[in-house]
Amino acid sequence: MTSLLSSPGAPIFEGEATAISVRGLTKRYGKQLACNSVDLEIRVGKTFGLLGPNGAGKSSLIRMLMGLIPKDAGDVSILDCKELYASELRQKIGYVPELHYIYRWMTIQQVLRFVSPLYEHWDTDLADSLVDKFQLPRSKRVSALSKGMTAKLGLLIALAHHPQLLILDEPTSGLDPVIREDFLESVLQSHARSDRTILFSSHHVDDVERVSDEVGIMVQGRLVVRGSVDELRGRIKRIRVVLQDGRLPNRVPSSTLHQKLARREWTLTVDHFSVDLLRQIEVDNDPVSAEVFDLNLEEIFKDVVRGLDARTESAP
Amino acid sequence: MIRTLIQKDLGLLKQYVVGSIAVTIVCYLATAIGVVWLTDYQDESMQSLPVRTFLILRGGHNLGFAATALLSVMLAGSIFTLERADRSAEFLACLPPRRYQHLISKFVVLFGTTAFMIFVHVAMTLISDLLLPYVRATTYPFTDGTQFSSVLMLIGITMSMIGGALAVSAWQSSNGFPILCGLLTPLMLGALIKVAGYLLELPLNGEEGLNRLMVTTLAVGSFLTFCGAYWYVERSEP
Repeated sequence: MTSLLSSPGAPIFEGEATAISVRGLTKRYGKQLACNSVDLEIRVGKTFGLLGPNGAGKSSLIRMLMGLIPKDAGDVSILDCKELYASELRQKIGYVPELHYIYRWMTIQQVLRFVSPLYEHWDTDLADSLVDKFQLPRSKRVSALSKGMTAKLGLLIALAHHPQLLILDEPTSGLDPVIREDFLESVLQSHARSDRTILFSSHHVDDVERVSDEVGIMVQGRLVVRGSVDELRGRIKRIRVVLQDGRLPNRVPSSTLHQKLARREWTLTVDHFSVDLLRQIEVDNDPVSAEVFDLNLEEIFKDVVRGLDARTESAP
Repeated sequence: MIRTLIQKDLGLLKQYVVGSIAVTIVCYLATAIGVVWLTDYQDESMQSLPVRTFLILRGGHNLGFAATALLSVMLAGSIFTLERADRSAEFLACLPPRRYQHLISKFVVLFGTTAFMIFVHVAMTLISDLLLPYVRATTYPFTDGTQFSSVLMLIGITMSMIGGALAVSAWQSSNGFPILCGLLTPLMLGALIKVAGYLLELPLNGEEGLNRLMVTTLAVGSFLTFCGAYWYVERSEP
């Protein structure tokens, strides 16, 4: 299991090539902390899903990785390159932002003619096949395209130069379900054909769950939990404890992500669940009953977000 | 890569570039209309073809230089800001070219267009110099040849306007304020030279005053252009 609390500087994945390595990455906008000392490593060939509510700091993190905004602190290495503005690095990355600002006065054909010479490994055949697959009208101006069409054009530009790393920042946001489905299908197909690394950020849990080998949940600028979907389901559980009349919960486990008390019913969502932890709760609280429930990724996501929000609100 | 970027910038600024070429032609056409059809010459000798051509070229040159300065400042004020206004600068920032390559492309378009317009006007005025012997035979009062320093002064004023607009547009998202600053730059420089001349008791009229204005506008224009270029390269785009 991957620990977020691994010692700074030590590689999380010993002996494996990493596509993205981030240590203590911090970004502030005035007093607002957008990224709070984020540590993240993504192995080559893996798809990492970055989940988080709006304003969690996902886009800030990605924009720093892309070298679009300066970081305040921390180290970033992408494909063994620390100079994030380097042209050589940009040649290896495909980036799809949430909002596309492709030249609106250009036609699709003009966009492709403009972008293709900028990439050393631009694959005209692949670009043409994606134009056909996405049914993009070459003669139409970008300003006349629907949001879904523009997103597909953005994905085409990101894929057609065979990037080693594909960074998708909320790419399906605002798209209708059919286009979203097409879009994700294309991402999955592109991944299947290569050992490309993908960083996929979204607040759509089902999208992330579908495409990702590994998931990280980011809340309030911090990467709170990470692991494979199965791993998270295995280690994060909900425990429903019915307390005896007149009693309050005693000793909340330190790995509690979220808790809720409604009359005698105390519900906890805990990380690193074990039978020992359950026994400890029973010993500490002498409950009437204690049941353990499995959670799906969406429930885990919601409880992590609510838990951190509640802790922030109750903090002095 | 630079060629691709230049093609893109030419497309982006098409209206300004095409407008500059069109206005250059229109300046001479308008003068020609004025000279041929609207002016009633009392002197017979003024109606000869070489003299009329001279008048068209000199008139077009004067009108053209004013138009060049105006169009160049509009181009300079828009060359960075248009991509920020529609946020296509963010798309551009994700592509492989480096900032200095974008800058080179934009400068090629800006100074290429300005140089083309200035070249046309200088060429026209030099051609007009060839017609001076015909003009001197008439009663036309101004028969001096082209003064190199006055052409340089016009270029200096244009350069200071471009520099002022570029320096401000490097950190602006719309072209209105940079264009205004570009237009005001030579006026402010002129005022500063006047004040400095008054305080330091320097001669401000005649050839020496012209040279002082030329050197100041060229130097300040180049410095402001450098500042604008530096700020553009250093700036994070989104």
